[in-house]
Amino acid sequence: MPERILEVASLTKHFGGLRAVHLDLTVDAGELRCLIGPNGAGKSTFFRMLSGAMRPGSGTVRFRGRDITGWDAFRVARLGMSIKFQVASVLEELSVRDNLHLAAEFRFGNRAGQRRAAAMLEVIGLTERADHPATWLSHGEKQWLEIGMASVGEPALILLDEPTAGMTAEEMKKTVRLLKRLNEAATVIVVEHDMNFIRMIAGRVTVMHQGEVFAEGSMEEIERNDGVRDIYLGKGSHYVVRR
Amino acid sequence: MRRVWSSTETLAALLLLLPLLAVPWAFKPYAANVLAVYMIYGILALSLTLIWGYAGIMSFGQTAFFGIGAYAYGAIGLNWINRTQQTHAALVGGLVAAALLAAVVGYFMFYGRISDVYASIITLALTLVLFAFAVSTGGDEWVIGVARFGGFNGMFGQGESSQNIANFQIPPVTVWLPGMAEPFQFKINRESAAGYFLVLGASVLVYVVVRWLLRVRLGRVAIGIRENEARVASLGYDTRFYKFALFTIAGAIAGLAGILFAAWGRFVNPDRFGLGFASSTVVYVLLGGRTSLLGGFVGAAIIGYLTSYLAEIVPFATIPGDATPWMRFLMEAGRRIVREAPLLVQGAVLVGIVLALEDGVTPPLSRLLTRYRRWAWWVLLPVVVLYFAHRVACLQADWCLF
Repeated sequence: MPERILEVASLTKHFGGLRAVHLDLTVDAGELRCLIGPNGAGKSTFFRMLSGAMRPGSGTVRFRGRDITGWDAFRVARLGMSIKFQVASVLEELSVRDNLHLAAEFRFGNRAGQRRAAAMLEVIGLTERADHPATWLSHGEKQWLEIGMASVGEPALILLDEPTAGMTAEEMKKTVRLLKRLNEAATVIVVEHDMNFIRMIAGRVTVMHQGEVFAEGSMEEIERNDGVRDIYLGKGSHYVVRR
Repeated sequence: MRRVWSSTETLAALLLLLPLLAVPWAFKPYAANVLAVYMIYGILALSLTLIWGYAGIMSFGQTAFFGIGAYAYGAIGLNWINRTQQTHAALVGGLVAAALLAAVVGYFMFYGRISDVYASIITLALTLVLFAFAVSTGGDEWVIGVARFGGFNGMFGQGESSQNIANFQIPPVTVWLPGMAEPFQFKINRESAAGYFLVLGASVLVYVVVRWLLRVRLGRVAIGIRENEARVASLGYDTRFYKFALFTIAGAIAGLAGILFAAWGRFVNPDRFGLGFASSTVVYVLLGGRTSLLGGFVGAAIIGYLTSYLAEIVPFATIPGDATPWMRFLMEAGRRIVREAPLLVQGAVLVGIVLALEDGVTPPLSRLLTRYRRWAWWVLLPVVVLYFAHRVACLQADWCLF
């Protein structure tokens, strides 16, 4: 049986009277897991709680066997979890290379960090733009840079929040190849809206709805699920989450 | 990788340093004296540039660390100079006091997760509290050894008797190292420009150290924090620690400026903690350009020159007898405004510059220098060198061409 890298139990977050997230979820090491769900399903809030950017209301998060509930973001990152935020948040005034270097330096130090950064430039295909400030990059390039920053430190778990938002079909194909390559070394959880992308990735899919896990299974199973279709078409409020 | 030191920077360094090195021989001691204080303010401004321009933490009260450095140097220096004939302990004490204050304040601000907006308010409050405290130390009980705080009148020594004038002032930086026959004082006067070179050396040293800091991990993380703190934290960096460390270093640099100030003027009073000086420091940085390490020096020099020389020239300009009443009124008003309110002049200059040049004065200047560096190498630099060589020859040996 594969090792459980992430175990989330009754993780809850309220915003005022609204329960944004109430979630149980486990992810095995080496998985490429897709997290889908309509807007407001709580996916990004969930990610923010996992990565330490937001403190959960209650519940526990176990990562690599340790309880990391409520840890600061930098400690979570040191334990081997990295995140690409939904809004591209590269360090705009630093060069592409310096962005990657900063992300790699923490684990590998200055010199080795430079080598890792150069290698990652190749992987994400931005070698020619290495010395441009990140602010000059196109939208798609910024997303790749973010994915590169999230993975250059060789984390055990990579969280990617909408890595293909606003990408062209061609860019999306490239991103799929990139993700599969990253998945060879790390567990990856991807939040996405684009069903084509999810099909291309062909990983296990978890559907979130109103902050809870609505369904889980392979893409075929999910596509056959009438409930999932309905929540995406807006009839989902009739459905009660199976628990 | 980019080169560590570009040819334009070498050029800029020559253009600045050659004249500055020649100043004590090219002009009367007064010029060196004035330039020294501009550079001291420049060091203070550089400490603000470091944390504001590079780490994005606006500290309105860098003057708190400047003032603490000055007062600590003064208190220790006054007490030790007569016993040991040197100010080594005062130098160390001033630096430690400033760094310690910055570390304590920084610890509570950054580990207490106070947002950066409040950091500027807290530091401003700190300097104003210190101002209020320093003002209220006029009584006889505010004495450390022979050093009296003196309230508004500033710090001075009591001496053995009230007639002992020599003990009254804060000592200049004085070193007496093993192997030296007698102590050496860094003063600026007709005989010596050692104090000037001490300040120049300190400026260069601080500049080089800060430049280096910004190239190592501390500096890169600082710039990352300015750009997006949450992102940097999610890469594994404890941003609180980096902000704390940088704030402490900046405090120590401001303290060094304070020490040099107290030793330069041989005097310090509560004004160094005051709102006027605190805002001036921000103005130096804004005017010079807060993304340029030289910006603070440039800003301090411009403002210093404008306020002292405008105040000197305008009030004594004679109003012509045949001036119309309106002209007479305007000249009189201008004269008074400039004389009475240097801050008003600073404000006007600042507004003008910020409207015209977003990044301050220095970045456009350095772009110009980069663009016309051939001209600068072959025309500007020789002209500057010749001008200063002529000044030196004229003043020292009376070989004047004009």
